[in-house]
Amino acid sequence: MEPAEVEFLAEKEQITIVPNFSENKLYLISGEFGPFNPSMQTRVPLWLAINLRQRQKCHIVPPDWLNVDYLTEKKSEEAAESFFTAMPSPNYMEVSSLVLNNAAEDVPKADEVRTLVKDIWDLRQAKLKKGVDQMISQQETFAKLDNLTLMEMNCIRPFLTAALDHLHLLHNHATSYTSSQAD
Amino acid sequence: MVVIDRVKEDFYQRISSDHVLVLVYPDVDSLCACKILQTLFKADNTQYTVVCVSGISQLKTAFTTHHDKVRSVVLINCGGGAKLIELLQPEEHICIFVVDSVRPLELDNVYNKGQVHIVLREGEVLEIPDFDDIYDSDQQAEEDGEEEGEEFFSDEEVEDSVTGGKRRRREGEASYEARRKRHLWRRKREEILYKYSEFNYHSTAASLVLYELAWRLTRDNNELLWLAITGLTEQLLHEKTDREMYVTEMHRMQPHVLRLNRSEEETVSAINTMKINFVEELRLDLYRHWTIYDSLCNSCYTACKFKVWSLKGHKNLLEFLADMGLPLVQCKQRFSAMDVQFRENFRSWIDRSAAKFGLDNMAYGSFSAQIGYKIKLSAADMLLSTTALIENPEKSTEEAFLQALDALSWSNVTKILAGIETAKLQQAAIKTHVRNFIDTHQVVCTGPFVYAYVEEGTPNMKYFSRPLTLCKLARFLREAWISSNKRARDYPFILSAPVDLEKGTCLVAGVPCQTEETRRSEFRKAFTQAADRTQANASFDCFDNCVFEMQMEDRGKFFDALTALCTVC
Repeated sequence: MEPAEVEFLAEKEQITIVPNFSENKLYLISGEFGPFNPSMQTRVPLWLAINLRQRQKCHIVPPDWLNVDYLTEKKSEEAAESFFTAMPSPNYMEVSSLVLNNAAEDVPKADEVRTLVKDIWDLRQAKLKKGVDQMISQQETFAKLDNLTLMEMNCIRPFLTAALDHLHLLHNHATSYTSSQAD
Repeated sequence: MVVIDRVKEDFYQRISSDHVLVLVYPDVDSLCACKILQTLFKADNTQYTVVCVSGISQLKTAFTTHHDKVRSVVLINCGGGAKLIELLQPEEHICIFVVDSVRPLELDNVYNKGQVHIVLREGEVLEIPDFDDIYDSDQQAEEDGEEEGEEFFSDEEVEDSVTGGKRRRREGEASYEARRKRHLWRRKREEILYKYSEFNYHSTAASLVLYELAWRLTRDNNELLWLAITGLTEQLLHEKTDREMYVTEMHRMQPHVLRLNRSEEETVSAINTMKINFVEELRLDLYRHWTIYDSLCNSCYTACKFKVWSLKGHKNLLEFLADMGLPLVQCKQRFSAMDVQFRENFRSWIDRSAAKFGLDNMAYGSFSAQIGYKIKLSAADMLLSTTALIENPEKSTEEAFLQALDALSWSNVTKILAGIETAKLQQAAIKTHVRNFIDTHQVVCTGPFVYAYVEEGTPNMKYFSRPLTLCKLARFLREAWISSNKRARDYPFILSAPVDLEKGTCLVAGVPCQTEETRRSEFRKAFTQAADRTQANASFDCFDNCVFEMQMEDRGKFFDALTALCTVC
């Protein structure tokens, strides 16, 4: 999967906006949204929110977890645990990058938030790589990883599957060689 | 019809539902206004076509090429002074909206009921004569027509030939009264029209009008505000309005700046968003992107105060730098590469020393914008860069116009920085030219005005064949001339430069005298009259009222006629 595809799937997540126009209910294939009234908060999917924001038709209310306090706590929690902790949203990376890129004025202390999200991502990536390394060096066949988000899985997937394939190939050749030697 | 109050309904909602043709004059204010309008259109998915028109003939061609696809036409800073219905002959369903800062507006456009609408800012008052003073009711017009050259044969007379002479006599008296009244009315009308069109001046910038529209639609943001500020700065620096009006407009912009750039402690916004703040700007062009020495030598204000083309003046300049405490080596470095202490204290030192050396009007209130850590531009920098991009000598007007329009969006800010480099070259060329003019005594003072002309074959002549740069050169030259000849302060300045060597045409620009407080100029009227008298081959095509084109051979006769005209009045 491409990261863009993962982002596309993440855009289905609901987010709150404050529109500045008025419109009746919209009946779309993916559901009904609206009605839109100025200064009244409405829940819409992320893709619609971003489109309206780009056209200057609304302001985005950042999700509860996208602020400095919550994220600092989450980061220290993540650093303390050796396994993955539960993330506030299964698409935290996509949501935060979309909101910060398109509506940075709506997020207070946007720079700090961006740094914190990146830190959390880095911590989890480090754990992932360590876990992969452990699995291969100890030649385990089974590993269980809880609380991994789709984006993180997508990052490691090409490498991990290709590497395991290679290892398997080498292993097969090695065993067939030794067995042919023995004969 | 004049559109002021219900700008949203009468103007924007009518145009945003169809395909719109936008005709724009190539100067900075119109470019900014066009960009604001484009942003609004993009948000609403309105189809539009933008065409650059620098003269009346181009306006007509653009209209005839595109008019079959569109329902509304928006004219930005062009066509306000021309009789639009006669010129373009639009069909019934086409609506023309004019956003023009040039006054006086053509009365046919103002009083037109259906097709032509003038968009003004809220609270603006148009000083126009009453409808009844200018236009006849139909009845009188008919009788006028009958009376014009013919004998008095009226329908009534034919009818009454039966009833006899008495009635005719009574009618005779009544008609004599009516004729006298009409004659007086016509004379009064001519007087009013003459006075109305005598002076040309500028009113609210088009970009400010469109910014207020965006504000009413609650679609304003820092980018649009910055464009409006650039348009306003052009009005000051290109001497379209006087200082007082600029200060008033600036105070009107202050609340917008404060509202969109609130910086409280808790909600400090991201570094990548644009921030605008109020700044006391110096009249040193581009000094943050140039060396201080170059900026002092090439800016109009300082160069003329110090008279840097003379040896004594140059020494004076060096003395000024020494007085400020800036070593010459530092001054010849790029501003961003100077030592930190010099850079930080530069502002306070220059304020202190400026008064000593007679530089009184050095500072004026303005705004500056910042994006990220690297890019900080003042409104004047933006203006100079955009002018340089519009009048790029290596490209045709249309191409340069589109490139400049492109550069105005902040994602392309590198183009603005490139434009600043071109502006530096332009400024240096202007200053070299001024120096040549002063040294070779080519400026002639002929009584009512001062004039000079750029010879063919001078180096960098390509810069001066465009109206904006030519006017800049004229202003610089006027300041320089005044600094040596105080009495020339009261006279307007006229400059001519060749524009097309094959066709033998030259561009003539007029700059009003410095003591004029209200920036009203009578150039258009004076030029047209002089051209008529000498039957010179002149075209008053350009929408800028102070600039026109004519054949080079007619130049001498034209100036003689102009002298004669001005000494009379």
